Amino acid sequence: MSAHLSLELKKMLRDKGLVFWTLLLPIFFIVIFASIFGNQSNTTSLSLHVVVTEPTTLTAPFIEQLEYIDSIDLEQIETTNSATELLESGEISTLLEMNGEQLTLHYDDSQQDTAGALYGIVDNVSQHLHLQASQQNVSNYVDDEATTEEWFAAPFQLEAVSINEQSVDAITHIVPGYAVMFTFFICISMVSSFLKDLRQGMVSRLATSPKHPLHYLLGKWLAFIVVVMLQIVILLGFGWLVYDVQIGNLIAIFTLSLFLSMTATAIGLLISVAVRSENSGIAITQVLALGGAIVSGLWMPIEFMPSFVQQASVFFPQYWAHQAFLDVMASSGTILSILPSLLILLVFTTVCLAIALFLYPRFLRDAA
Amino acid sequence: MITIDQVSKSYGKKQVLHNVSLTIPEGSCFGLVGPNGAGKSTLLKLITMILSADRGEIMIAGESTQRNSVKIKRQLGYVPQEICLEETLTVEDNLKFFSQIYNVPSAIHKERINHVLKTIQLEDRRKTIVKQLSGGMQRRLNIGCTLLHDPMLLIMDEPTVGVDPNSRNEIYNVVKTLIKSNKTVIYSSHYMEEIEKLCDLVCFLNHGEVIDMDSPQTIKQNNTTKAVEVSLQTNDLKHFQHLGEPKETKNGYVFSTDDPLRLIQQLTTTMKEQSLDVTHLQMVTPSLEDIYLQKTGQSLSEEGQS
Repeated sequence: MSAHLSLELKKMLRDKGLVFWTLLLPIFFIVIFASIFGNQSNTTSLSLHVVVTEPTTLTAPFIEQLEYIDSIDLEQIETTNSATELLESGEISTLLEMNGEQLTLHYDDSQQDTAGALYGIVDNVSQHLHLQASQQNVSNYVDDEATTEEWFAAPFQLEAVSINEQSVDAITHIVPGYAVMFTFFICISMVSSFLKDLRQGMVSRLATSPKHPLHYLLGKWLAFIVVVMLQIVILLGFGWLVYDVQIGNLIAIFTLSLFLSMTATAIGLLISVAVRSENSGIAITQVLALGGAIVSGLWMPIEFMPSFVQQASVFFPQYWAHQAFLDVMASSGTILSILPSLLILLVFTTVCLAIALFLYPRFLRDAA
Repeated sequence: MITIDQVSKSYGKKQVLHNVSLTIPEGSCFGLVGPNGAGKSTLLKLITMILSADRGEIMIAGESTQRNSVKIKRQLGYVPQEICLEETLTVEDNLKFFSQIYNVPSAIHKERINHVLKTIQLEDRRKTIVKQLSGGMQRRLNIGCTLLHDPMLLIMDEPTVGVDPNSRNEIYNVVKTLIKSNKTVIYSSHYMEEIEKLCDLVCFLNHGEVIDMDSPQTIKQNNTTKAVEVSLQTNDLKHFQHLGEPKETKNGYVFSTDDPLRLIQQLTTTMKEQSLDVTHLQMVTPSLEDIYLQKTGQSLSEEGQS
């Protein structure tokens, strides 16, 4: 088995295509997406344009209250155009029209989520102003400010607490996301390598040697595991060095990388012994790697996905690997906290390996 | 000694080998001849245990290939028709890999690699990347990779296919060296001249059946239909009608006969009587290829070029 392992590693060192797929392309993607999303803060601002058509005494305090809210990026505009014209021009997506005591929130239908959030905030500010005015009136009437404050005190105290010890930004999501996605591209190199051996007669030649045929299969598998491990280490290392991404618990990250390498290459092994042509192998890999990346939330957080996609994601090893990476890197997870993900990756590995071993005799017959 | 006893093999409904029985003595060079589809490669794959026979048994040095495959494989070297090398690695890397595959002890693997490089005449190419070697050199390395464990039985499936005449001669020299070292060699080829030069025994295979097997000399003796070739300055053959129907060749005409001396006498008498000038007259001995053509109706050389 060591003969195959060392031979494959020597071959891979000289394989420029492998270096491109495993390292250069993922680094390129990380850099591109980090440039696009890297400057965004975690707190999302909601853009709100306000137009006052008929002011009242409460208009100014109302706008002042809205401006205090961090999550609102407010801009007051003066225009003679109608709200519909402004929204249809695409210049703005939400508009609050203040016509006397009448407030109207106009919104583009594609911004329903934003409009819903803004509606809640505007309504809240309106209620707050109403409460302030009521509290002032009651206070004047009873002439007891302390008692009035007690009467008008909020029944609940709301506090927001982040579960992350380190700050989690978009890059902390991007780096492990692309590392996980590109590990599955190893399947292309595996298919290519196995089918080349088959075509050139190497498999049948090795069948005449005293070594058991499993040495060939497992030797090659081990070599690809080593390559994927190196790939993950280099990509995470790149994130750490260039973007200061937190790596977290090293033992957990190493174990997770090993399990992910085993899973990706076991799938590669299965595709390699199952397909009859390189094109089929590439097609299956593309569907698995890109489809799995989208569904598993490697490109954008899984929470943004429709619920059926979120439900489907649990059937993809990418989801479990990515969630475990985020757990360790963003939430200071340990090997114990990612144990369920590790076990699921192990199940994927075992199932794929078992099917590959079942199909291997057919692969050997094709070689003869 | 290799004994092949009543071996048959089919691919689906197509029978490729039908009750093939052969005996190959130890230390001999055994030539396997036949056109594409004759069953040569299948027979070699059965001997090398890449395939299993549907019926019959193959014994190598007294061991059955079905029961003692690992023991036999330690003594077997197979040179496939394809060049099975890692072309992005060096000559030495390839030899190292195969020395590990054939369990050559690490204490002697350097010595074995040096010996093999000398045998295949690639000592000065040790560090060369395989894809930078010529086709002939790659073929020699393809042979070299099977010599590392010093096998007693060498099986070569068309080792000279697709190489130029110079490279073919270099490969002949390598194979001759191996034959001299008392190895049993099974050599499959389209090229009859290779078989005549190298082999002690020849087996004609056609449509999965053995149609003749003996030494090249004995096959020639047993199958020679003697003939006389004559070149005349005229194309008028009416004077020779009583001597039979001649076959036209590039040198003139060939008359088949069981008694060539008597035919020559008849030819010279006729030429003297008719005052015909003769430019060339000789007895013809058919080649192995002519005999194969005679027996099967198929030409090997045309197949070989395809």
